[in-house]
Amino acid sequence: MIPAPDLNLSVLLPIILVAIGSMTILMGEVLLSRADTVLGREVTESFIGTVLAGTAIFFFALTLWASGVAFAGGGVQVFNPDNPMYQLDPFSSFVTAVLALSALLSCALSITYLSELRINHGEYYALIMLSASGMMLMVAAVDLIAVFLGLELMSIPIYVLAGFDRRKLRSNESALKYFLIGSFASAILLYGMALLYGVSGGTSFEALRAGFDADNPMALVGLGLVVVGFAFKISMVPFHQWTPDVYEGAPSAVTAYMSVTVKVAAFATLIRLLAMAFGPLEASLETIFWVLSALTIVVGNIMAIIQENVKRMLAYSSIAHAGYLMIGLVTGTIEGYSAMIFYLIAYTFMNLGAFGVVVALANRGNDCERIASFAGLARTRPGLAAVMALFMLSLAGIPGTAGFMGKFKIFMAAVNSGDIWLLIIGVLMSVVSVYYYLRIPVLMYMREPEDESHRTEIASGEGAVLVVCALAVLALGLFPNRVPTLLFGDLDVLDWANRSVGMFFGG
Amino acid sequence: MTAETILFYLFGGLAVISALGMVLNTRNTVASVLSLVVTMVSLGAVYLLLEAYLVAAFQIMVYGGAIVVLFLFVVMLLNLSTDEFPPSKQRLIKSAFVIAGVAILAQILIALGHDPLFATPPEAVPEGYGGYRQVGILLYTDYVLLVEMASLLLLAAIVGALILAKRKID
Amino acid sequence: MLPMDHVIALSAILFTIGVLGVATRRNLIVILMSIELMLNAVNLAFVGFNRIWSQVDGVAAIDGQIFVLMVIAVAAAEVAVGLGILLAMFRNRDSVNVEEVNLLKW
Repeated sequence: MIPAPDLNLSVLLPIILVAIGSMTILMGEVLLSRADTVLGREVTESFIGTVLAGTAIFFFALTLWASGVAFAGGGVQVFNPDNPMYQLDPFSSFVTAVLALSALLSCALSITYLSELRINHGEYYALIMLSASGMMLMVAAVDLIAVFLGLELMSIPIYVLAGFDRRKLRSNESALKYFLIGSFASAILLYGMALLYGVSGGTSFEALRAGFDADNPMALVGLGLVVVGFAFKISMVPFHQWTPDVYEGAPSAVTAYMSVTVKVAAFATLIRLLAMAFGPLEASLETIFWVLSALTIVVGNIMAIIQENVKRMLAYSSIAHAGYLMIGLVTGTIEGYSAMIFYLIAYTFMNLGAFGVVVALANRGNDCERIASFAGLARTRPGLAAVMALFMLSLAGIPGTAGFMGKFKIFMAAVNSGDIWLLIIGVLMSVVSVYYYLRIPVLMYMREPEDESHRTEIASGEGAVLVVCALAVLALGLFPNRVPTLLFGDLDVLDWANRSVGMFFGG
Repeated sequence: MTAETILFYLFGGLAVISALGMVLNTRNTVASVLSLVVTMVSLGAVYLLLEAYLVAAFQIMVYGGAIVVLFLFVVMLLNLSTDEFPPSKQRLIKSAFVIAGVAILAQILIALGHDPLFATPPEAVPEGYGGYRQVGILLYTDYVLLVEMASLLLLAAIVGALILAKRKID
Repeated sequence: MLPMDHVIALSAILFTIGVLGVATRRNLIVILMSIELMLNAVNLAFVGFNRIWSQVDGVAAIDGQIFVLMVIAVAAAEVAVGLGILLAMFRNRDSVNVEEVNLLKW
């Protein structure tokens, strides 16, 4: 007789909710599309899509609530005490909440866009939920096996989502490219994990930390391969070439989702790996990260200047932001990590917002992609032009916006740990970035409109997402430690970021 | 040299030769797929020699049986049996890849020579190591979370493959 | 008993052959198979290392083999999705040549 394991199912609540949501959607789609036989009346396809999107939003809201409760409760709980794979602690519950929120916003953003493309199927939301469950597993994993499984569960649905508009060749190509690069990267990552397992004799973070010998060349090769695997996922230079093509070819709503959530999940996992598993190897990583960070910031910003396509420009801008975020990894201090978490939140809102505007301008599936097509938008669509200008200012890091606060915190962390050169590179390149970000507001406010056929009305889902993102960008920029809300009182986001990473430093 | 070691070199060599055959064969895709089967089956034999019995069975059933047959199916379906693409023009990236790959190989081989891990031969395996009973019990106790998450992964793959490949649109 | 360093060396060689396949071949099916070869090399490394770490503190340990089972499941899922993407693309365009999809454009 085998003793039943002493499982702690309530710890798994966020993932369980998301998984149940995805299955509800899949079942719901079957039932609703047979509604004439089951319910006795015909329902239209777009109605089904909207109902299923609502279901997804509902389950993401539940997940947000569950992880918020877990974060408020604090403490560290594991799923299976015999062999901890999944650990719900302040860090993972906070990042899970951020992921749930951004997935929720992406779902709301997608409804009308997908209907215009006539691909508003339930599978879209189911795949988003499945990939979100993978991210939630990955950020809470304390074992390499769980990290790998989470990474794949995150990636495989996104490969499909990138090719979701399967009648368009460029969507196919985007999916194919992302798939090939992604699975190549995971094979490299896996080989690194195998070598790390070989030198330490275990796959849990605890065993890794205990079993490492920083002078063992095999451990260093393994570590290098793991870093390269993650570098592909967060598009660090020189592993970034796929990013602009994939972002450009994928449907804009998918790009919005993946540009935000994949980065949040991958960076959070890197923080946890560095803080919990790679302990003795951190010194050798610092130099590698320093070089990668500087390269990423420079190449991302320079390449963004010459882009003529908004989605490609935002892709290079997201590469540049990955570079800024890596400064936090270089510092390796509690200040750096908490600045990264804050920056990730700011990035989530401003990037979702910027892609949200691109989504809201798409007309019958024709994306408004050329930067030139933003000319005169302030005349024709004043509201959209205003929020787009705000998001661009925030991405550029103009004071008063969330982007500025994030950069400020990151740069402060760099200064306090003595990385003056990174600070100089970062600030110089931020100045360069002002040029390409401000091109769009200048075009919108100072040029005459072209006769480009934008969509003329905004859907309620898109409008709500844009308003939420714009308010969040302003609030995080003006009062990061007491964001006023009507319902919940003042929110102290800075303190949350500190508390979430504090657990790695015995706080 | 024991019989085990001789078998290992035999199957290891076979795996390398057929892997090279798969990568270097630019004329016939079907032959590439069949070389891959040989690699997979030889690796299955190596797993047996390493006393990982369940993994060896899965290797042959899932890789050799299911995955490669899927490849073969797609090659036949898309009628790709001849591979007539001219050689690539992007020399710079290719050579960067080749250099990086060989450098990593050299690094690992050098590391292997110095690693104390291999100084002593491994001890005999415990009773029941790598058998279905031990793996099964651990999968449903210590690693039950992974089984559940793998089921979600397969669900995602099924939904994804259906969405991408089903014939009817809308 | 097998020479364990040669087992790991075999896996490193197979992995490198896989990387070279991804880098030099242009037929998408062959690239996909090369990625599978890399995953197989990973599995061999896990099984080999598991043979070395078959006991940790006197307790039988099979972390590596569990990892291999998960890799096999993931590989199956990846192949299914990858071939689905290929099929979808093939319907829109009759080619499985990498450079026609600008895979490695700088």
